[in-house]
Amino acid sequence: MLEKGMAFIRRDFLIDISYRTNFFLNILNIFFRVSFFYFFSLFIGMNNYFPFVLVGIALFDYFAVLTRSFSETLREAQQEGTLEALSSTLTPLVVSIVFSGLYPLLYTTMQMMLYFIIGASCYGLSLAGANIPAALLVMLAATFSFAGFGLLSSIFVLVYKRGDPLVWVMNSLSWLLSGTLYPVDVLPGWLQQAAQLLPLTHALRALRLTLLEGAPLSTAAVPLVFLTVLFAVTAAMFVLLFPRALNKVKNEAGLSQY
Amino acid sequence: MNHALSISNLYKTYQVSPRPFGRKTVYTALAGISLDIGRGEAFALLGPNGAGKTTLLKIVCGLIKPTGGTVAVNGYDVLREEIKAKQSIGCCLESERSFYYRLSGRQNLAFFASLDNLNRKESTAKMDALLIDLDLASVADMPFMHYSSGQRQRLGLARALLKDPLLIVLDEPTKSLDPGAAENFWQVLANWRAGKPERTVFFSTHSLDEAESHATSLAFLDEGRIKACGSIEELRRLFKQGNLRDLYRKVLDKGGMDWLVGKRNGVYQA
Repeated sequence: MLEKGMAFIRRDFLIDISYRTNFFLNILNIFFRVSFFYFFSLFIGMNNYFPFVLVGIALFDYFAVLTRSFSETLREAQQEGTLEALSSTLTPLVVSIVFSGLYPLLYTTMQMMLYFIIGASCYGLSLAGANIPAALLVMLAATFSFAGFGLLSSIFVLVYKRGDPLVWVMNSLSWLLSGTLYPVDVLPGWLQQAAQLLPLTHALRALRLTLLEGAPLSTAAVPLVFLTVLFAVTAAMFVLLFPRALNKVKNEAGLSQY
Repeated sequence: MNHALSISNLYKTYQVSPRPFGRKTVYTALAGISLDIGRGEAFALLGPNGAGKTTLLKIVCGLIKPTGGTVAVNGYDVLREEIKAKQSIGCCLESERSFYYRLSGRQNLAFFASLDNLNRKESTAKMDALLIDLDLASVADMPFMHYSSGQRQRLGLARALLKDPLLIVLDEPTKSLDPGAAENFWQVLANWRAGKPERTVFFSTHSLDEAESHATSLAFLDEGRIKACGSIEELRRLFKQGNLRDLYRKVLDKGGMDWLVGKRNGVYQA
């Protein structure tokens, strides 16, 4: 299994660096985004806005990559025609889909670290008081919970090819409601309640508490439990629905369709 | 006795709609195919476009689920014992669009070898030998997107042979190859089979010359049914046609007649 996982990481890394310009522009883009929000925070005159928004955009990017990566890789496989080739191997397709998320996970983790490295080295962001072990645990729970949605979304793409509503709704609502750029408190009451249904809201709250305020893990217990339960639910749904979806696609000779 | 491939009463129907949200009708791709291919045979599937050849090959490879009937590869049911069946089958169906364009031929093969549980050391040695045999060594480290159609087809064969299967399934394997490359392609397969009587080839083709040169037995498929099946000599004798081209016309012109004259285990079925 480890060798297979490495094969997927190697494949995606080689493909990624073959688009050299895109690879480096993505990194450069992070620098510009961090810079933009630093100067914006100076403009609005709120000292604590820069760390707040830095955590927001870094985790939103992480969330967006993890929720989209499985379905995007699957969609590419449909379009390139490699899905049938993957299905012909001794590795079950479900394993291939799960492993296709490994490189995006590594890449987006590196991106997230880059946000903080640029923030700290160029704009004086201080994480001296951070509770790093607690923050890492929050990230672990967030990763599984985001990936759960990503895997569910891949089922939609497997069957219907295009127009996956799950990721679209999750990303749009999370950007608006989860407190990426502004605190959830500024929203009207009913929207604040709606925001509590989104995993990013909980992940952001827990990460800001542990990373920016150095709070102990116990203060982030509720978000952690929510993220863990959400992962259990999405993973169970994936395990239940994926074989049915694959069965439907094979019945319709849909592996080669796109 | 286990056959390399045993197909029994295979049906495949699709629900198709001529327009979005329109009423669906049933389209029959395969209508009761039964076929046994013995170990060591080179079996050709002939028939016009839309006859159901690719559907049949994809069902054998486990890529399409049949509506009814069974398929067993070396005794393993492709639905119930999928992994065991896949262990002994190499598929080369669509080579133009089944590799990663940005990766080299070698990187592509290494990736698929990992998914077929081949260890790196073993697969690297096999890969190098296959790349030389298939005249791909000089382009092995070039991105797949720069390969010609023929090179892509040959890389598809390399991938199928890499796991050393007992049965290899090929869909129109030489359609993009020039005559020299096609000959080389078949030579590689002949070398692969040489001295290994259990190795079997099941391929579809539109080339009657190719079927005549490389198949030991063949089946004519039309409208999802086998119109005739047997060794080339048997079919020539039964249909009283010396030339394969005339035989092809005669069998397919029978239209609705259900000719099933395959000789399997010495038994003729009609």
